[in-house]
Amino acid sequence: MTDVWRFLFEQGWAVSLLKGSAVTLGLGLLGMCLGLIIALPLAIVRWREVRLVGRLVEAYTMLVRSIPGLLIIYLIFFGSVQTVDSIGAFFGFQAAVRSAYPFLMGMLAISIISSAYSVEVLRGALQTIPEGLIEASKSLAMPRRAIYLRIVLPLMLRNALSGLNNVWQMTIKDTSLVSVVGLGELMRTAALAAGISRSPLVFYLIAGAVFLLITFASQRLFVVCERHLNRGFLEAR
Amino acid sequence: MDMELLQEAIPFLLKGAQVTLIIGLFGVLIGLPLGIVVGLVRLSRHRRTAACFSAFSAFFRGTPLLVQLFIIYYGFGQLEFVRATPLLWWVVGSSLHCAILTVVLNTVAYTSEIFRGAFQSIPKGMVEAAQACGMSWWVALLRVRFPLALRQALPAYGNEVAIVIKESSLASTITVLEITGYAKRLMSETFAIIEIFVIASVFYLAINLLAMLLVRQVEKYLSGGVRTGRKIHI
Amino acid sequence: MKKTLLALVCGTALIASAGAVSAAEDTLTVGTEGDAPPYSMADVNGNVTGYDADIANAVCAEMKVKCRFVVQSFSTLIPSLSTDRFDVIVSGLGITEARKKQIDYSIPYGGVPQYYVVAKDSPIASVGSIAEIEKMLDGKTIGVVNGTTYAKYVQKHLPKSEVKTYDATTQMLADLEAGRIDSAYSDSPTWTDFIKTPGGARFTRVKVPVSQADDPAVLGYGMGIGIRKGNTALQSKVDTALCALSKKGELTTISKKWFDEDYAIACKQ
Repeated sequence: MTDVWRFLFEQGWAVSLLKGSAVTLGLGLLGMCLGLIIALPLAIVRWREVRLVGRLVEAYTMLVRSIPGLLIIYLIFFGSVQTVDSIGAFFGFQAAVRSAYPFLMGMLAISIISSAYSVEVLRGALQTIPEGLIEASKSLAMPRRAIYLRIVLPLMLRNALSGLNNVWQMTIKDTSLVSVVGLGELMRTAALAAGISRSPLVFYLIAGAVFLLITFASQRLFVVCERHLNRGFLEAR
Repeated sequence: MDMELLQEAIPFLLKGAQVTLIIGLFGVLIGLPLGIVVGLVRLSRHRRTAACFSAFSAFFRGTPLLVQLFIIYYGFGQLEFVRATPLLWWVVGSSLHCAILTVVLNTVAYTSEIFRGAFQSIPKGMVEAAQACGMSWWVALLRVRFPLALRQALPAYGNEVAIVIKESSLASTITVLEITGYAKRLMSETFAIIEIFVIASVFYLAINLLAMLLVRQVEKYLSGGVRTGRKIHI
Repeated sequence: MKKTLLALVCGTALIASAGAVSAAEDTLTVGTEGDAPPYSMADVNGNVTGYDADIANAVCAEMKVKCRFVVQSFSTLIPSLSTDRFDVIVSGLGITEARKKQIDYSIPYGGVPQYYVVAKDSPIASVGSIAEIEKMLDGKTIGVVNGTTYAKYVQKHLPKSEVKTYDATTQMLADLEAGRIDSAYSDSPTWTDFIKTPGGARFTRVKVPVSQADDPAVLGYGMGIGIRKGNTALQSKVDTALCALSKKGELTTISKKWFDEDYAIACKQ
């Protein structure tokens, strides 16, 4: 036990585990946000039942939700370096892109996976908005943009919150998959530490504890958000 | 696409598909009944037992499957007393048994959450009516509560089945040769990354579609003519 | 809403400008496994030590550039090189015809024999020939690392045994210690290093070595530095550097430091 203690602090593994946790959180948050940005227009397309594009979106979500995340991460990691490199060269920071490549690709993969689930959640939330409210806003001659920004999106957000919490919980756990392509997030740091110290149980339990902390804190945060958004709505939940 | 590549890859991926199906089957056959039981226990009046199982469920739902796999395979595999006990080593020593155990524990945690919610959503009136008819707790469970809960839980459980099949791919990280395991091996030997990815994805899609069809059939059978109008979310 | 949009735009501009500053520096990005003692061992800060790290650093010094290491699992090194993730691979990469179709190589800088490893008390430990080893390993489990020539060799010569492929050498060694696999196949330096560790003390090499000449189609001939296909400019620079190091005796020094033996291959130019 003292061995592990020494290992953690003298050789600085505790600090790297913290750094790894930060990378995990960053990856999860950025991936989830990007996923939502992608998912919102797609969800609206599905909600409005636009002819061809709606079907395409449905195929996309079905595909991404059926294929294991591990395979998607492999594909993105090895399939798109050329494109990212040329984009990086255009902005003039090729070296920075190269060194941040695993993070960027991890973020892209996570956002694709989370967007597929988010689309379904947002679509479900949009469908529960009473038609009457939208008709009322149209009868008031509100411009389309105002209808969306003032009526549809806030109501959708309230309904989607529980589902989005589930997607977030899933997303933050999927970040551990990016460790297989070498990104230095929490799982990979724990694996490196476990390999060098030859005490895998301690380090994987620590990784598990950190994930529990993150998911538990997220859950509490979600409860607070839900209470806030449900102000003024007296329906018993 | 290279015909030669297809001919080389498909037999291996078929072998892998067998293992994927085994993991999935065990996950559902053991996970579903156990999950229902744990879900009921979490609602029982015995506070402490309920809390224990809720903690178990929270742990397995709050940590990634990858972490759980590594804890059980590498973590427990390191402990001397596990290596010395034949029964424990039969589970932890074999990568396939380890993977099945972890997947089962994981799906029991999620299934218990689904069924806990389903049982809680049954209108109290129904349960009281059953008691008024003189049904014992057990008969009320079998005849009234369980069918209602099952109908409520099925869409969510259909999702869980799809997740079990996807999560079986993580077994490849502890050397199990299921579809992803063979895909990784093929990718590193033939360097044909995108092609192998596509073929492996087709396999997973096929298995998922099959599973979804089965779940849809079960839902139709259970509805017995009642139009629920509910779609399964794949 | 407008404020957040403004903040986002400013942020992107800031990041872009910072990136432009840190761009053009003369560095050689080196891909390596980082999980394979004594070749390549990554520590918590991403610094890599080991035989391959020393070779890479020596080559960089000869070429008068800085070395920057990228650590990834072994089987993903070649695909990443082909997609330009790093400039070279220095990770005990065996030179084989199959790999030559994907990438180019420098001249070979080292060649190591391979061994099977079993527990000291196993009957296989005292066997005298490769044919006998293969017969006794029928039906047993053997560990190899995914993507290596060793994996291909075992799969080809021992079709009736159960071959377990690991993503990292350290994982294979952990399972060997735990007793999940009956044997493992890798090269001499890996085993010398492993047997010195407390967990590896009860293992021994089966005395019969397998040299690359035994099956050159699969095992290749020597280890080389992997270079992206078509990058002949870099290839000639690396070759020149390696040749200079070979003539100075650096390759032998590095080999003796990590392997206790001289496995360096002299430059023939």
